[in-house]
Amino acid sequence: MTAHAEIPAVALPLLREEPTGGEEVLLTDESDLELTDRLLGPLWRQWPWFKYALAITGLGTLVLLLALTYTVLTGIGLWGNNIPVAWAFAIINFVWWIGIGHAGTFISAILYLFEVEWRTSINRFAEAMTLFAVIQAGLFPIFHMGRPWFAYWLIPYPSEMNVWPQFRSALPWDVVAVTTYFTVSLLFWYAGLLPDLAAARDRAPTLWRRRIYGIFALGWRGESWHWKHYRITYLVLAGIATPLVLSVHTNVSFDFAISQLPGWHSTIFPPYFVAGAIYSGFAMVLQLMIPARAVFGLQKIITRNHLDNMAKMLLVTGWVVTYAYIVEPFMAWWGGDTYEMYDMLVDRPLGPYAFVYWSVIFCNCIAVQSLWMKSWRTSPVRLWVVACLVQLGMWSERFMLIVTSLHRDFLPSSWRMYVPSWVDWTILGGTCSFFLFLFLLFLRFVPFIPISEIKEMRHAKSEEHARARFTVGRVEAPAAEVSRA
Amino acid sequence: MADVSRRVVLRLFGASAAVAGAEACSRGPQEYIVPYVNQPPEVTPSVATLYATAMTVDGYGMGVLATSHEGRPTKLEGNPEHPASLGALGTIEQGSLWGLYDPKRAQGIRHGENPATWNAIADVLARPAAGGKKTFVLLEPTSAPHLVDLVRRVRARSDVFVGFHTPLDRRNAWEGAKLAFGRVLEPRWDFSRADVVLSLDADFLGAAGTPQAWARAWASRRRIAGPNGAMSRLYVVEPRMSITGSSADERLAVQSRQVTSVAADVVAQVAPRGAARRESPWARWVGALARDLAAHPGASLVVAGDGQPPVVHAMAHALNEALGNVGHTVTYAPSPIFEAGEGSHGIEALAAAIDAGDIGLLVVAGGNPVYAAPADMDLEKRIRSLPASVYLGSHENETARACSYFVPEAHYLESWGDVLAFDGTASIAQPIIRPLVADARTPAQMLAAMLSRREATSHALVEEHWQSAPTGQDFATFWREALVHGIVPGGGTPAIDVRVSWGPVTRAVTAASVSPAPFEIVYFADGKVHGGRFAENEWLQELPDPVTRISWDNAALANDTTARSIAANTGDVVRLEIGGRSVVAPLFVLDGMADGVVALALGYGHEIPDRASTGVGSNAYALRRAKALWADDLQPSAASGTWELARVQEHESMEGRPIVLHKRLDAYRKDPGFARELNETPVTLYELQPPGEHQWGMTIDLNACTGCSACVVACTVENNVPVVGKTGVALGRVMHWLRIDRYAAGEMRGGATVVQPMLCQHCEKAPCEYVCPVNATVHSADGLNEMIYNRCVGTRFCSNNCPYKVRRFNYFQYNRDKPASLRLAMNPDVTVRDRGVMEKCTYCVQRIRQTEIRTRRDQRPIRDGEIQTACQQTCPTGAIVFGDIADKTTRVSAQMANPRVYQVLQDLGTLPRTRYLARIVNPNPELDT
Repeated sequence: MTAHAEIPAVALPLLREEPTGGEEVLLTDESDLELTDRLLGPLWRQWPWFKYALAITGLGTLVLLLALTYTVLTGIGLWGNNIPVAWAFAIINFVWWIGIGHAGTFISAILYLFEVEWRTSINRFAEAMTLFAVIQAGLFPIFHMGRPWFAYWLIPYPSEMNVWPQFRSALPWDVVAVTTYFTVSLLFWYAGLLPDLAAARDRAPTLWRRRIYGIFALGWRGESWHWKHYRITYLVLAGIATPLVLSVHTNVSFDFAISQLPGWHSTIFPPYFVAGAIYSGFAMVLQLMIPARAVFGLQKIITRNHLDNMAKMLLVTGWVVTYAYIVEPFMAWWGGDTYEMYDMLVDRPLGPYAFVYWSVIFCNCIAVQSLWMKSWRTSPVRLWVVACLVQLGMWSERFMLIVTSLHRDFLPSSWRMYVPSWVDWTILGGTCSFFLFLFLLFLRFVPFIPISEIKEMRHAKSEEHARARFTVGRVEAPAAEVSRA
Repeated sequence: MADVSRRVVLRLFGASAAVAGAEACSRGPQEYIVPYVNQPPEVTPSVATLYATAMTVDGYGMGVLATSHEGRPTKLEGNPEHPASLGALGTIEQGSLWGLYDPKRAQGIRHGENPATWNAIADVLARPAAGGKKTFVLLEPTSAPHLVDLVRRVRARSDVFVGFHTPLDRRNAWEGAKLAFGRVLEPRWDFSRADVVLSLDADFLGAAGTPQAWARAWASRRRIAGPNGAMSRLYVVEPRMSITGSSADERLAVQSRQVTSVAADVVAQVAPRGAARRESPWARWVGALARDLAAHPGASLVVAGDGQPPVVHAMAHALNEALGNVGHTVTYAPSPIFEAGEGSHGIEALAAAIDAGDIGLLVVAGGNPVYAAPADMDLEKRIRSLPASVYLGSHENETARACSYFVPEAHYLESWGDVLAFDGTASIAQPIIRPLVADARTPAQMLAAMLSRREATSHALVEEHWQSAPTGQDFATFWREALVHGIVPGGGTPAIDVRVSWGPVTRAVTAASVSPAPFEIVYFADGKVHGGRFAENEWLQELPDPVTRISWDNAALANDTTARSIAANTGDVVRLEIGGRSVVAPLFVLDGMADGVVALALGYGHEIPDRASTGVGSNAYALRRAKALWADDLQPSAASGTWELARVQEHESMEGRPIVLHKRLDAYRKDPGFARELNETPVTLYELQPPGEHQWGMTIDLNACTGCSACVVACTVENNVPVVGKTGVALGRVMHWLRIDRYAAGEMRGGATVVQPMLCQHCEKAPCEYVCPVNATVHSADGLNEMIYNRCVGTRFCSNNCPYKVRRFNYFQYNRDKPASLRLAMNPDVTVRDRGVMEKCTYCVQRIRQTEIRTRRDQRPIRDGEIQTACQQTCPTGAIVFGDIADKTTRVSAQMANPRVYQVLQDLGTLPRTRYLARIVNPNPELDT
């Protein structure tokens, strides 16, 4: 039961696909014990590539820390920001990262409440991605400040001088929204982990691992009253997390929508941002899941059915953002506001940043249409490429929204171009490294497929099979009712 | 040691500390300076004192009131009693404060590479030059009475020549007067009485150093009160786009050499007197102009610029006489400049004397002739060939390198002097501070040393002169009065009655040719470095040029046609070549330049390392030839590479938005309420005004604003606005709280541009306030949009939401690492901002609060006009009016009721407190089709 499994070759599984299983969400009839060992296997196994991957991403994280330190010591003049483009990379990256987080909550909370069974194999994964993305996102609003050491002034704490944040600004709302989101996501993720941590404790090969997993398992013994409270807690957390999927990015969109800047001042922003967030989030889940699935040989757990469903989500949210891209210029024209018309109809498609606009249109609206074809939805390689394009497109969309709106506003005398500096790029790359670094640690030390839920699903499935077999010929009455209706 | 008690030790410590303190005090000779108005019994800490003094610009005096905080001057304002200033100061005069505190100022006397003493220099100066040769003293043209005294006495030494040189000399004007009147006279213009003004390449509104009184008088005829009011009409003929040109109602862009023929055509039409003219391309324009001039006899004015040859000046004088303007809009008086128009002792005489081997010692007192002399003179080589040369200069510059001895020059705010204004009014310039450079000397002290009076202080030399001058009252009273007021009582020199001799004028009119050159270079002194004198001045280097909005560089200015024929575009490097000498410069395409003209500002392109001026712009002096000081034939060509120009404004079109409202006078009369729609208060549910007793507001009359940018410098100095350097400006991080936006207005004739001072509008419904997450920008009870620097965390949301983009962010620590001397220039009443906080115009809140405190103490209401913002205070044209809009009797309330008043971006509903008066242009209807 310990580290005996062969090391999967990295390259081969990418190409090796199960020939069947288009409709299934679980393709295994292993016993509970076999499933547990199979899913806990990566925790005990040696990963020869792990230390290299960790070193590379760790180095990137170190570079991020250096770049942030340099910025704090010197000033954000190191970035490319200017007047009029006073917000740029930091806010683009903030919105992008926090958007990526959304898919995790969407999968784990909303799909849970709707009892969508394909969520089970991927929810842990997506939740971890949420947490790590929110950590990246959280860095930016703090470090983009002129005086980050006073960032806590945005928090409504009872100051002895009776000074409070200014609550009409969307930024204190953001603080609340993001911290709530992070807290709930963390609790939700951790609560879901408890049975699996206990399983890891029970199956761990060494004493120290047993002790460490034991501490984190919080004394979970799998008793029925444990399960009872666990179920209620999980459901309540899912209920709390569900509105957050809508509220967090709605709040983020208020950072722009409450202003009066053409291109920001728009009532379509909340739904548009939420859809965009889920769009990029699903893209990120696919970007991470497809390689992991291949590397760890999880084709039976994360099936083509999963890929298919997620690709459909991409297609749906892709169309929502496309709709927003159509409505925005239309409303600008319909509203007749000179400044907004210039921004929407002239500057974005034809101005100096037109290449950004057209990348957005290509990546977010055109490339995703390939997913109408089932062959693209179920091909891991093709889907991965589309997901990457969507990710790029969503980052570019935030660049378009933030930079092109700011760089040409009301008075043409202050119009000016924005060019990111090397520090900007370093910090963006650094957060990607940090994200992957955290993700690697997660893959290495945490059961990244929810074992108990998989086993539960397997039982449910076999029960279904059994009941189906058992009830053949005994269900005429309801069937007849249905046909009569 | 055991018997020394603790008390004894402490007593000894105390005594030695006291002695050490006393010893450390400056122990120069006692001299008394007198504050401007009410001298407090002693200096009150934190209360500034004003001292009147005077600055010398190109030999002429400009009256200055220096604000002194605990003994250090922090701001210069115009002396309202001084005829050249009338309370206003231009860019360079205000910026000159930097020179006092410049950390790169020369610090010590030296001989070659080694430090030397004043005695060593004085020995050299007092002795006849070695080998029986002569001593040549080169001064800048001066009107200073005490210096003129000394020049006369030094000349009594038979071995001494005294000559004068400035690269910005007025020889053309003086020669022109000689041509017209047979003697050197200067015209004194009165624009306030002129209905029609013709400027022949005279930048009388914008050229640095010109009397601010001219702009004030001109604007008095432009601030049209209502649709029935009258306003003057300004015609400008010029080769390059100047500030005056952009304020013109009708403008003709011709090459510099063609201005002569335009002027000749005007003369031929207004007063033919037998002169014959051929048909010229501008016949229609000149015809309309001539009829307009002739229709306003005695109420028109023709002015000529220093860059034009003497005949143009003579023609201007002739035109004024023929139009009956003499005695009404123009009078004539002798120049206050010593030996004005006597060309025999200039820099050419120096060159000739050096070549003849007559000179054993050269004394250069002031200026930077090695850098600024015509390139074909090769003064550096000549000076280096001399056995000895002494240079008195503010910086270790090109001339300092060529001379064997160097003496640091005293700044005018740390030494005594005197000077005559353009109308001959004398001022005694008193120092405001003890010399920051201990060894600094004045030109007068150099001359005194040549008379073996090495110990004479600048104070003694000035006082000596005025003691012997006939002042008509007892000297102590005279001295005190003159220092208090900043002017010597008695006024200027009286005008004299002269007649133009028409012979030479008529001959010149007949001879004037119209043919343009393929390419012509035009040199000019801009309002930033003024020919190089302020090249080390970071405030002025960072000031955007009012016309091109380039900071930290000059550029080869040319219009689109010229640029295309050089095959270059904005930012491309071009090679400018004249007679085998060439410089490279960045090209900048500027509308309004005459075809074929490339204009290059003088005073840039210094190569001394590690200076503010290092590598900034291109050196026009390297092309300048002695026989063509202002315009020359040019061979331009495209060179390889590009040159990044740091511009504060990159887009000139208004994109059809109602930003700068402008209308023709006739259209305005038909539709006087055209601006009303843009002054309507949008429907709002909120209180319109906060509850305070006073409600501060501002109006800016775009009809009076010329865009000269004096207000920008005033704001910079008053509010401790940091300098960000060329890279900072290029990145879009300039910190100026007040900027002068400039837009193309192609449908307008004349300058075809409009300008708009843009500063915080202090919106009633300020978009910046509600987006600040920490309440760092809030509204005061008296309607100010306030910035609380301590509370600002630097999210910059306020800037994003500001539709006027007037907020400025401290991207780096601009202040804390400043050299100590520059910290002395800081205004202690204004917070010095730290890194990471937002800042912006405060309506000079420190001045408001000071006045409130003062009036509360005196138990009286605040008088209208008692609070002046820094920009308003220095505006020569009075375009800016500030005051209480809650009180309907104030000037600003009257302005707010003007039918021309409007709000910029009114449709956003921000309800700005700063409102603008639409610009009315007055083109000649005859030229319409």
